[in-house]
Amino acid sequence: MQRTRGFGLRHAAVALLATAALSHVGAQTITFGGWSGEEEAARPVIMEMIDSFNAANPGVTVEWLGYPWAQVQQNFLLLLRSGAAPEVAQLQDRWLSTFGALGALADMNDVFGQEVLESHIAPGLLTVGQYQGQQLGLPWIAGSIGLVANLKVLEDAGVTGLPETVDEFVAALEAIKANDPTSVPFAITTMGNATISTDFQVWLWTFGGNLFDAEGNVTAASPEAERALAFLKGLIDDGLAALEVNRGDARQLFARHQSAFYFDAPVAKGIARGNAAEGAGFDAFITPMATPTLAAGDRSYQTAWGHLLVLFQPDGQTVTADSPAARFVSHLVLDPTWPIRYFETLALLPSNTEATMSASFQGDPYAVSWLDIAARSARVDEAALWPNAPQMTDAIGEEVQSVYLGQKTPQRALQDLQRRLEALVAEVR
Amino acid sequence: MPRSVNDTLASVASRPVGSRRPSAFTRHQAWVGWWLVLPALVVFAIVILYPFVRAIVGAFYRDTLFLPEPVFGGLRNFRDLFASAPVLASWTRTIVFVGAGTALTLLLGFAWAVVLNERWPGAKVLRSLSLLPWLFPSTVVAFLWAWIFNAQYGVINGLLLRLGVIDQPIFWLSSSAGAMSAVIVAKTWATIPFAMAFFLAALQTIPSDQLDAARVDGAGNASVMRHIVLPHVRYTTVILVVLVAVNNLQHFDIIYAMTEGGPVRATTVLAIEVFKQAFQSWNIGLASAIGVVWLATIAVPAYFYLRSIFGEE
Repeated sequence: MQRTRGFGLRHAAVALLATAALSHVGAQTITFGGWSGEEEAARPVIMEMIDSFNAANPGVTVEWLGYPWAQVQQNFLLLLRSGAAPEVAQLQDRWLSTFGALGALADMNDVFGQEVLESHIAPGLLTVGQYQGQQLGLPWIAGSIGLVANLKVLEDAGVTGLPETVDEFVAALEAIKANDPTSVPFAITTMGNATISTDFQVWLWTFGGNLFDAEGNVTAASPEAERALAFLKGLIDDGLAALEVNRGDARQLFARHQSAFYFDAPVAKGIARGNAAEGAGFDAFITPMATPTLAAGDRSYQTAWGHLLVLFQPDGQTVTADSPAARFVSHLVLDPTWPIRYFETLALLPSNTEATMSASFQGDPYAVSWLDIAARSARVDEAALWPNAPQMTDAIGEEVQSVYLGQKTPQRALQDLQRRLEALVAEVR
Repeated sequence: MPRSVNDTLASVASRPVGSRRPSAFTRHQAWVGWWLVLPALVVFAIVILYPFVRAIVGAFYRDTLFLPEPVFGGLRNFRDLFASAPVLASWTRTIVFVGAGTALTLLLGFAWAVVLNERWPGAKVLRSLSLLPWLFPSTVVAFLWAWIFNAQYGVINGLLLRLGVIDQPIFWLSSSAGAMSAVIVAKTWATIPFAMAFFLAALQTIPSDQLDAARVDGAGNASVMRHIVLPHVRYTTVILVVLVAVNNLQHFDIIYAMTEGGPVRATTVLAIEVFKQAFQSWNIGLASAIGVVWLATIAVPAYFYLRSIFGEE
């Protein structure tokens, strides 16, 4: 009897193990890496996205691989070198060129087809995921680094309407300074190379300059660039902008009604809520605005910004649309369900066209206005188009800052910038 | 029948002096010793020795993100390093940061230890409170001092404006000297408790009869300080100079969090330079070469420190 029971137990155990083993036959695990799932506010919705995909795809398991934002680029590069990169990854837009230069990313046009992508995401927004003619990333959340205006500060200074030209902009700044001499009317960033670089480029383009021409030749030392830099230095000298302002300071000044304008991502509204004494009441004072232009009717500029989804493609392998990784990307960004949910949870602007037509998105004038301006004026950071973008950003930030601090004239700084950028271009050509 | 410990000891004792062959007991002891330290050795080899050797070897390779694999380059990285004015300037800034930071830390740490060594109401509470800056995470220290020095809403400008000393905010972090001074002040503030604790311990070992005798002989405060206190804390000072200097040489977080190495590289010390080369420029070879120069710089005070410790033994 005992023997029979032991025999039965052994058979049961073997059957159980066999069932467990068979249940994994054909199961595929893919890794989704990024940083949003590590952030307290975003983690629940990211996990919902993953769980819903796993539930709908019994043969596939998506696992999350998260790092804090500041460590993501470094860790993905190290993982890539050791052949352990995640199949799907979230990248900041300005990291794309570094990974693109390594040839490690799948071209989304090859995976999904350009027409399919353009039917789900506006072509203007797709540019943020392009590198050297390839669609290496899909914008998961879209937007731009654009100007926001504090309507209360403008009203207190007697400024009616948002300035549309550079002259109107300066006049508004002067009125604000006259109304409150302790204010910093325009909180352009003057600390931190990354933000100095992006803020400067918007004005560079506004004044008709560029860092590079279409062939990739450096054109930083131009009369237009000199005028743009002299304009910004003039704002600082006149007290209309200030030294020692980083993005965090700008956000504080704006929320305390000490500043009327600064550049930020669409998250500016949520941050102002957190910083302002009025809390959610501050929503009534903040509005996105187009960067003023030299003459009425000129094209306005902002810096394109977004979180991208990419597919790491191991050597010799091709990612196809029906592969689990591609299906997961499609689940996250091409199907409007999750972009809408993401927007409703965190107010992050969706890139998915259908999601932007949803009732919840259309019910938010701030978001609608921001996306409308971005679609017309966003342009990719010129340094971000190069694989050594971080060094270029440092060079731009340092030379522009040297003018702000009075260490160099605009002409001298731009000549030095020209020389440094040429050396950096030579390194990667 | 197993040999007893006494038998073993007897056989060791009966062995002729000068015998070269170690006994079985000695060999056994040696093996046990090796087995006991083996886990620590393995961890040391994996965590410290291997990365250390890799970094030194890496300094002789061209290794950037854009190369499929590292290529041996001999001394090329070192030639690039010594030909690069910005990198050499980082080395000079490191010397300034370490020199000023170490001197200030020792001076203020000693002064504070002297104050806390006296018996007065509240001295014990203040001793405990004085350790707080040392306990704060360095990023907290950085943000605290960045706020204090902030031109727009910082404490210093706020006070000066309120007192009418200035009518426009001073941009403390916008000049090379100002930014370097600010990071030195922040790092010094965080390290003073460490120096103070060392000095306080040394001061409390001064025999009271020596001090009493000096007072009876008519020695004043200055004389007691010069002839009794300073000679007594001399060895502590030497050790502290080395420890604080090495700590400052390695320092990264407060500087990076306060200034990111700016404005215009004014606070880019070697630690920041290595980070930028390795994780912004992805030039691992050059970063390793800078690390080797950095190591050589640290090795000087470390040598004196180790000699002061093991020399006494």
